[in-house]
Amino acid sequence: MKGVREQYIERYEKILPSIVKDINDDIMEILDNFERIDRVSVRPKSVDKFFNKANKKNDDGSLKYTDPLSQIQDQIGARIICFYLQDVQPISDEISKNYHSIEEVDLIPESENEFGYFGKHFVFSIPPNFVNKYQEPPTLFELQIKTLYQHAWSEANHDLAYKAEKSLTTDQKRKIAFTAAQSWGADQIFKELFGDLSN
Amino acid sequence: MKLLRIHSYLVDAGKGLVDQPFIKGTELTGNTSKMYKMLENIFLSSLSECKYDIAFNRGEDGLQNNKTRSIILDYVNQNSLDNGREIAKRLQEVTTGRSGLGLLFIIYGENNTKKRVVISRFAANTGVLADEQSGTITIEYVERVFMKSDKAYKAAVYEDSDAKGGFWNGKAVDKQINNDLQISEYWINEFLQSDFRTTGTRGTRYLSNSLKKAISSAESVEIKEELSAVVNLLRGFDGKTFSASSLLKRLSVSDEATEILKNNYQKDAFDLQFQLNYNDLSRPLAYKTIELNNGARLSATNDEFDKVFKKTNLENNKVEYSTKGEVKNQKLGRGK
Repeated sequence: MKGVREQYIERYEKILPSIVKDINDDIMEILDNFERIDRVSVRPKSVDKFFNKANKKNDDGSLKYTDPLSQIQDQIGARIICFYLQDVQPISDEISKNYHSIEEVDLIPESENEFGYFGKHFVFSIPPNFVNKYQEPPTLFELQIKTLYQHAWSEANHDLAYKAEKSLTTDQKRKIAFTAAQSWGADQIFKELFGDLSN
Repeated sequence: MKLLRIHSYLVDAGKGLVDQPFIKGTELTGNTSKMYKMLENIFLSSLSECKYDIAFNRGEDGLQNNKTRSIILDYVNQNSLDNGREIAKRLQEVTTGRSGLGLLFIIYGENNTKKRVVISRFAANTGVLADEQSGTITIEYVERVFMKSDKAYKAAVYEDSDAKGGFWNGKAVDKQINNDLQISEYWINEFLQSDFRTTGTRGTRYLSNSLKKAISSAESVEIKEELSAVVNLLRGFDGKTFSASSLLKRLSVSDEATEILKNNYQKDAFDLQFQLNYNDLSRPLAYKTIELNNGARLSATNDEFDKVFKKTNLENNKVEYSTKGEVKNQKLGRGK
């Protein structure tokens, strides 16, 4: 019996590339008539990232994922980065008409006094024609829709704050929150400008 | 895949009732009986018999909460009579008087890596029982006859390795409906709180794209006309559920036209079931253009083409088109 890592490597090499390409081509076709899309990216989760996630533990020391190949839902992650806040909803609507979602959430900071991660997240069922030919395919993928500023902040935050090896100081946390507020503010101003100038 | 457990429940109509009737159930044993064998066949053939790919819907809060999936997972984790009754209760809550009394079977099995649960409902029918007794017969009208045909049932199958995060996708069938065009909303949407994995928009897009490419690439004018006629006929199929392959058979489309459409169809999607949205289909196919070998090009909306152009067939494959109207616009364009 192969271990989780070996099973994922097999899936990563033999199955995921074809499904990633199908989803990428499909999203590009769906959004063909949309303007102001900076990029679409669809990627398989790297073997190391998958394995690290598969080994995450609960507070009591037990494994968080008892069947990681089935339970980890972002083995394929897709992102659509658009220019302005006004673009997010029409893109979401069009994608949702084409994919069956099992989750749709607007991620925002818990308190209105906080600034942090903003973004629209979906978990979709992979269309059967992309996976039915495989014996043990993943069945779900994750998709995020974000503005350029939401994306820029979350990438830098992930790189500096999330992956930081030691705890951030109070000032460093404030700086992270400040950049989040700046990004949020830029999105609001571009939203207003786009609303004013495109009419 | 080894069948391990069968539970059965008598499920009445309970939609809208505050006090739901208690549901009686039983575990079926005796794996040599005809009944058991019939249900074992349904269980073993379920993945091929259930041809509609479905997935549970998200919760109203947008999160991964689906009541029907939760109670099915409870049953998968512990296939008890009580856990099965929860599934029967869910069915009863959405069953109207029109669907009426039904016999629900929950069939569970597993192999080394996967667990499978099949949920199947047989509707109640009426019948006449004729019994021979000492030289005479007694005739009795019976109201609770199930399985007048062992081929007429609704079913859904879920198979996965993980009974915690998995079991989102499944397959379903409704064999109580005479044709494939109307899968029961009651079974898939209301009871299973699910929908097709191939959304109507996606399936319609595949069909529309392939019709456009096939009409453009077909060399024969007759095939082009045949496929154009399919587009117009599809107006009557708005909201119906079918696959491209079953649709073409139903419309008696020629083998040649079917082959061209199939060759231009999205890979591995020709047999997928979806619900047609005619507006989505017709939008990319809105204009019909005919080119003649004398350099003329006639164009109109697909819906109006045959009304605004009168066609007369002449000798030697020639045709004459005529039309009347006021000139609204005139354009010059770039040459080829």
